Amino acid sequence: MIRFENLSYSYPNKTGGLRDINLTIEKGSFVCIYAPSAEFKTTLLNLIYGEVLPSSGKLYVLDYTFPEDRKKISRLRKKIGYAFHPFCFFDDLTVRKNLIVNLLIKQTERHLKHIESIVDETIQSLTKLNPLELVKNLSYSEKQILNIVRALIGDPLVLLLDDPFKHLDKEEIEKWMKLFVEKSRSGITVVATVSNPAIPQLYGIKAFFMKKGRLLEEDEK
Amino acid sequence: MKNSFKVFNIIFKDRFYTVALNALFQYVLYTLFLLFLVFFYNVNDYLVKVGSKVTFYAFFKKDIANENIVKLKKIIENWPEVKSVKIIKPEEGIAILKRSLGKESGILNTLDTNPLPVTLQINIKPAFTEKFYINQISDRLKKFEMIEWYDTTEKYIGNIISVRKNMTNIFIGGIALFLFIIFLALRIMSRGFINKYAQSIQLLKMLGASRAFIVIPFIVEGFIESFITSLLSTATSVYVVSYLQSELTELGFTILSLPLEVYLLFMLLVSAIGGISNIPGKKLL
Repeated sequence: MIRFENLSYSYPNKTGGLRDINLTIEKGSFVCIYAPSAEFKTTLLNLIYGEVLPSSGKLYVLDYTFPEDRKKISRLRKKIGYAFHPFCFFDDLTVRKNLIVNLLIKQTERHLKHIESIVDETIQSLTKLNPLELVKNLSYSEKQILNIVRALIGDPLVLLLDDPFKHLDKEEIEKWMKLFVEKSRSGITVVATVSNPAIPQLYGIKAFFMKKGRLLEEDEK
Repeated sequence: MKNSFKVFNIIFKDRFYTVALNALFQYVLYTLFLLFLVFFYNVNDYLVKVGSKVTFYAFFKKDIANENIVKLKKIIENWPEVKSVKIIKPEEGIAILKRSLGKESGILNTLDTNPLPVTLQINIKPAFTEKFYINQISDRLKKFEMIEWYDTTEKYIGNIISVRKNMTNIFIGGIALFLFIIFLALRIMSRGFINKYAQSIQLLKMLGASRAFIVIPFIVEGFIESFITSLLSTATSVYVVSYLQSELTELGFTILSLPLEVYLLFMLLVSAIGGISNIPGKKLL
């Protein structure tokens, strides 16, 4: 469960930010947040991920409360899969090694062979990526797919997806949306930001609109 | 924690040249440090040996009865500062003088009679060689009427004793300063290398790696690296000392090697310094 309680966030040297956010996202629900760019959608996800801390108010993510639990951020991150925007990869490593590193950090599994087999299986079942290709040689859409796969791998409890459909074609969007819906049904909480409001509408997903740092429900828009 | 080493080996695999350069730098530093240590150890040993041999020579007046001389010897032997007392008869005294004069001892053959009186050689314990104790012993000797005059080697080696004291302080300060310089140099060098990986470290944090997960492999790497280089430096220093020993023995000098426990302590200390100095800076974590 994720709960924002009168939460505000302002950037140290910037005007604007999030204002008075009150939102509860239940376990296993799928929520979309959409807005044009520069409306702090990423900031909202970064708050859930502990990358930034609230300026005021409270944020409850799984068993952690922020800002109090700021020293437990790395523990929280092990339970969250995050498709970053912009991408954050080890560009000089292969697709496979990027995923292995992610799993080694997130899991306590010690047998490298077992981790490698999970990675190989995931790449094969979900993508057409060449596991031995260096990330720096991938196209934008391939990087986006790797970004999503990295967030999914390792059975996270929360899935944060920052503009996950950018650079993807219609077919790919449909494939991944189906998978995210499946994941939420299996109990994973999914929070995605999108620039295109048609996507949540099309899949009947609860959506919020961000305007001037405030979070509005569809009908308040 | 095993996973952190696996991640470390994947992300920071291209560190061979930087680690090798760092190890070479450490090797030079540690070898210089050990040779400095050997040099001081030998100087200090020499000064200790010389400084701990303070002897008084008390010369008796003419015609003092033998039993009185023996009685006085026994009194002095009971003084807490005294290690041993020996009676040197005039004929022994002249023999000693001849030995010390060597080729020039011929001059003594011109003497009609032996001018040397009976003498007491009073050897002082090394713990009582300081000026304060020497003055106390001198005051006591003055009170014996049968002693004509006395002399002490302290006035010749007194400076050595005070130099040795200062040398010890300088040496301890020198070691501390040297170790601090080693730490600073390694820290600056290691951080220079590690800063190249700032982006990777940030990314590891983003993926959920804790501070310990990132830091521990760096500490272990620094520790092992410094341990191996300190082992090589120790081997080099032992070799240099044994070489000098064989060369200088022919010239009449002896050179001492450092005790084993000093080498072990050195290796442990610099390995710890190596580990600590390899921790990425706070800004990166």
